[in-house]
Amino acid sequence: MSFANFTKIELKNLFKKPATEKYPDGPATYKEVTRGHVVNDMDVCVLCGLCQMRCPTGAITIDKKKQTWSIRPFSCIQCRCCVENCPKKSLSMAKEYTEPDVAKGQRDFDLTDRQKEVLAEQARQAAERAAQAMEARKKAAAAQNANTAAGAGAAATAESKAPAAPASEKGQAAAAPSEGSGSAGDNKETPGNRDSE
Amino acid sequence: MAGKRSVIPFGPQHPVLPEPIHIDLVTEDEKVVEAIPSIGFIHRGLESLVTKKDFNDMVYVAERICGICSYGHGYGYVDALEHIMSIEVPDRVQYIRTLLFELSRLHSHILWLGLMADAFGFESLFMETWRIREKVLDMLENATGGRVIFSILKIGGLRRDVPDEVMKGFIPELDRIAEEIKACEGAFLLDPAVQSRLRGVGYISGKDAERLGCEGPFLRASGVEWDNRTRGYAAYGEVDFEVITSKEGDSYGRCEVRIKEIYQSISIIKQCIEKMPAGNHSVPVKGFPNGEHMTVIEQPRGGACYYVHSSGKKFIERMRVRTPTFANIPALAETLKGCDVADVPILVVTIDPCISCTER
Repeated sequence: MSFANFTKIELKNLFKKPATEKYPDGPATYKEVTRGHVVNDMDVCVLCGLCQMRCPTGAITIDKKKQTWSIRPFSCIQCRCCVENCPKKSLSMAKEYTEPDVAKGQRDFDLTDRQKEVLAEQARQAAERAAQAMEARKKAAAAQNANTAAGAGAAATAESKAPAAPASEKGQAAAAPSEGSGSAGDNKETPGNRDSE
Repeated sequence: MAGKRSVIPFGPQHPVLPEPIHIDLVTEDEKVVEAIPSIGFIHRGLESLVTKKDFNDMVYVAERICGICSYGHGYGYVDALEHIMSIEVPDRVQYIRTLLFELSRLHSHILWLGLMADAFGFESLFMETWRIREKVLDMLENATGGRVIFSILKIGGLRRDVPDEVMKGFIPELDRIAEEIKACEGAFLLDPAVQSRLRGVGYISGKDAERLGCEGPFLRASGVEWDNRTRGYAAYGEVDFEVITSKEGDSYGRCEVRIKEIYQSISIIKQCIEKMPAGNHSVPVKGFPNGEHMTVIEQPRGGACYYVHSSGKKFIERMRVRTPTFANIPALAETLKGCDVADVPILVVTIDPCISCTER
């Protein structure tokens, strides 16, 4: 009898423990892969800004001058997009949901002092490299100038040596050295460009 | 003798469902003679967001069209774009997608059973079914990391792999769910008090249902064999299942179809876990979509169409979603004619209305 069927379930339920968690009394339970909230390890973060760029809701902001990473936890949709795109793996997803708050404000996180020093060191090295690259480029430019001057001289001498040559040959002879010097200059410049990048 | 006609407004706020649909019930004595539905209370303009969001980020918006069918909406959008960009996703992805689709169908149908029990005033049955649903949500959370919005789909595959051990762990859990549903099934299908509320209420013939363009369990309950899963998208072509129909055509039939579909979903999930191939969980995607495609899938509530048109830019030009509830509203208005005012809430629930989907 179906009527008795559900009565049986109800009677059983009378003597069972509640199906719900008694949350404030006991701890809330989460699964291993639950997407709760985003955590940033400020010891590793380099403030590259990729998370800010990829966040679909624009919840993350980065201030490179103040060296802070901020998130508006109530705009975050826990999509895990920033975690996937983090090049330094400093972002991770914690299991616990965002804690309740009285305001929808932004939460700022400062870089740790150690990480600030690391970043400052990196910036100094980058500046040095840039300065070196600049010098290399200057040298390259100087060399190029010298080359073109030499090339022009060579062309002039070629012209003076063969004044009776036909006009077409004269044009080719004049064009060839200038092309060669141009490509040489390019080759010299490329390593300098790579350094500055 | 015809009584005096009066109009009773139903909704947009009504205890039976939390979503806003308004129906003007023209009544004569206790009988409804005409029902005029109107929607438009929760339009959010999500489709037009497609022109302002990167097409990769739009997956998140598509998933948020609705909370209960979130997976299906995400799937429809991703599938349409994968067709446009001619991306071949690995077999493993297809199987995991099918598995998740059936899990979401499972939780949607169990949710509906609870809502139905609540509509005919069986409070403890409502709580029992929702207790069972909680286990399905736990499984989904184990697999994807989210309970309602899974955020696992991306163009070109899945954003994270679901480990085989996790999926193997679903099998005993699914058996337990099947047992518990079996215990509750009697209360829905055999209980004389419940049957008196369901039998013969809101009858619609198969012919009428087809003519009015019904979808999903609502159509199948009238004996029409129509299930978009038979088209064989994802891995549906490789698993065994039959289209479930009922000859009743009334609220009882709709209940029966959905309960049987719960068992069917469980069987499809088990088949997917057994046949699960190894492989990558995503393929790299390059370039921007250029072209148009229409994807038709079977959501828990019925067939849904996703049309995407794009012209090789970062932003897609047009996206259109036709949801099953939208297709079922004309038939709802038809079935409401001639029923008692007291049966209106039950009838509105039998189409499994999802107004947020309908208006987007």
